[in-house]
Amino acid sequence: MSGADELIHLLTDRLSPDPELQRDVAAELRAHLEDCAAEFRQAGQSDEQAAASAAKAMGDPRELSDQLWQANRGRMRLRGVLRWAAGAALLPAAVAAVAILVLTHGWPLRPDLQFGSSWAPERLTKDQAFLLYGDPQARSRLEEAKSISDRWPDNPVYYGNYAIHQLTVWEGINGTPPPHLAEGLAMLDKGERIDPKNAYYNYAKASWLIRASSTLADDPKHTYELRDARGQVTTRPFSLITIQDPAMFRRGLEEFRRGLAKPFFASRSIDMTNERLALLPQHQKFLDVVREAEMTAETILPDLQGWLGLGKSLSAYALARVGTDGQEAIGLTRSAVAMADQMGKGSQTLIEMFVAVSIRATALASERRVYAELGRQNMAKQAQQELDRQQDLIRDIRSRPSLDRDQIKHTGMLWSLVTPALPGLRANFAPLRTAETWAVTQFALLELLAVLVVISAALAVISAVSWAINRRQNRPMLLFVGWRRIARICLLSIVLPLAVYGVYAYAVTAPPDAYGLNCSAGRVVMEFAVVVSVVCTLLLGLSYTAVRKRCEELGLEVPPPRHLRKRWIVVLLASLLALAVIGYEIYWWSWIPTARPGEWAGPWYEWAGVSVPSPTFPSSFGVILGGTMLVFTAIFVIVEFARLLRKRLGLFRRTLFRSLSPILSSAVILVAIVCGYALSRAESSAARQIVGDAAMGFTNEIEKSDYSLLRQQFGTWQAQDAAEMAR
Amino acid sequence: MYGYELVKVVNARTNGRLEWKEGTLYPTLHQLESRGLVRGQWADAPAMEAPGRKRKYYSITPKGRAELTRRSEEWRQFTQAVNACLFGGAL
Repeated sequence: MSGADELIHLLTDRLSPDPELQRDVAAELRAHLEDCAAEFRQAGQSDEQAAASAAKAMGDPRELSDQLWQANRGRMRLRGVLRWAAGAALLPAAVAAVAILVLTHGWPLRPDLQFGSSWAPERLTKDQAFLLYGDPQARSRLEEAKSISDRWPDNPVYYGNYAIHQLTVWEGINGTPPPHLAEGLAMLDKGERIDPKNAYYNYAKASWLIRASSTLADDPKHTYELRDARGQVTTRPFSLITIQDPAMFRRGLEEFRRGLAKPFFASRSIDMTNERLALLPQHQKFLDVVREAEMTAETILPDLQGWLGLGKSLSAYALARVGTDGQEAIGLTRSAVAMADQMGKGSQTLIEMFVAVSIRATALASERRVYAELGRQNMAKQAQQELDRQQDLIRDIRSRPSLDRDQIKHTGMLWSLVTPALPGLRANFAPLRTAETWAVTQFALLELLAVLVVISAALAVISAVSWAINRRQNRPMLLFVGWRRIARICLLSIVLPLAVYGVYAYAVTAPPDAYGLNCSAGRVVMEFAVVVSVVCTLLLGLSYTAVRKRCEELGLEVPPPRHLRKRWIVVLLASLLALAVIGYEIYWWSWIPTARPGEWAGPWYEWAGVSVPSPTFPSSFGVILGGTMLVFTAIFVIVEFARLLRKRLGLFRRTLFRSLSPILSSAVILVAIVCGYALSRAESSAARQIVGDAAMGFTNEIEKSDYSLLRQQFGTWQAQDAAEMAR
Repeated sequence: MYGYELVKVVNARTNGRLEWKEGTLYPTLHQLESRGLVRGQWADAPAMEAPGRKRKYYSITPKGRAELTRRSEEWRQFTQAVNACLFGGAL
């Protein structure tokens, strides 16, 4: 150690609790001594004399050491507190910020979708929560439905919902006798007492009794032709019925006739779902819509196979009776048509309505054959004409415009998966599509923050280990790079890139004809990858530069600066990637207006289990390009940090790692608060608009489409049936 | 202005009449810096003077400038009062 070094060590030794400040003051004093000694040398002194003169000019070392300590001790105390706070609080605060985002918005990470939606149980009244979720002790949907019915025993909707759940368990395999016939009939009897004007219970009893007392088989000799909705003629067999228990079969027919006299038919499970949906507050998040769709999809439909079986049995029995009692046969087929009309009018879902259509078609075909076998050709012709009119109406509705390929591009991921191409669909896609986009953007932001938190935590752990195993002089320092520098780093590496992307994202998301994620997911994933790469590269790069500069000021050995010309391979690869991204963007925006659904949506539909035949290259390319960008960034960062593994850079490396952790944590907190809040507001704003034509699902698909005309027609037919029966 | 430069300027302006040890400048600068009256920033020394070396340059902050104005006024009033007392307004 030289004389100057000894003097500086003596002067700054009392500042050692703050190694950074000690080094800073030492570097400043060393610069002074060098300047002073240089002047003495110029005056003709030798090197030794000049150094001694410079040291002498500084004054009494002990007195000066004490003065330096006095002047800096307040600062040291404050910096100690700040350093402790930065080390102990910033990383946990960053983790907390990300955790809050995960808990409130990070739904893809959570299998329990109920959590985080704005209608979690604690936000509902006790009765509302019970109606939505049933008894908390319930272990299954069945127990849940039973608990609701038990709590409000006279409510026909709640009992009907429970009955459908229970009968689904008891009904057994279609085509075989129900294994719990007595229990099922008792349950249906109770339902009829609670809901006496509803024909559902009578038809269900008739279905169970007839199924238990007879068997059906295809008639190999007799078939009928049916022109389907596409105009193609298909051949269907009539059914043959074998009655094993005539008494029970007659009981079934009696229940059927009692049902015909009832004013309406309603399977209550959809009513139950609608009642639950009506309880829910206004959507606040995209998650609320997903949860709502999930709840709707959980609706248990009534025994549609049983309805079809009942219709076939009635028609088959009518055909069996035509030889012995023609009038009864005619009456039975007419009654089967009337039942179908009643069911069609009361149907709340498309599948229920199409079951009614099928029963009606079978009954009309049977009616035509009954009349034909009785020699009443005119009536047979009328029955055929009625059947043709039904099929013509369906064909007419189906031929109306439905979602075309251009409209589907604007529906968004969720809508494109759950919305069938219904004719005459009246829908406003924008709010759901926008909410979905912002929700996914929040998820991407969360991924970025999670990556930064993981890096920050890893650096903190490495620093802690390094601090523990190194001796005092070599321990890593937590540098104060300065608030201005941190602010500049955050501004340039985070605020600016995210703001630019935010403006771009808003510009392409906000218009009414914006493209949904169902066709833009590949591009959006690539853009997210670009933003993450840019933010990570800038954040780590600028932070590295700031820490390096500070270390240089403190006299630490730092790696030499590397200019771009020395990194020509990195620059070349980055430029190629940037060109590929720009090229892909230009290509995508020119290609998407003419693209066919399978071309853009392939991976996403396949992911959802829907197969598409067309190639999926353009969409996949965005994902591949984004993935390449992320891998390139990761390799670049790793290689850059690997340069620091040289032993002489050990203290700089350790100091860099220790100082980067709080910088990254600060950045995470800033972004989580600002961007998290902004995106949450944008998502809520869009989600609140998901009402009316913007809300669509399983329960209102008839009302929202031209199939409402078919239901109206069922109403007309039912009125005609009632008038006929009255005659 | 860096520390050694300050010493030179003070010595030049006072023609060396102020007897002081150069080292005492730094505790003073650090106190001023702690109080936010001056700001120290490291920068490269001019290549002609000290190539490849860094120096810590101090600049006065707005808060420091306000404090300087206040202290200057105090000093002016103090010297006026002392002059008045000693020389009866002859100076």
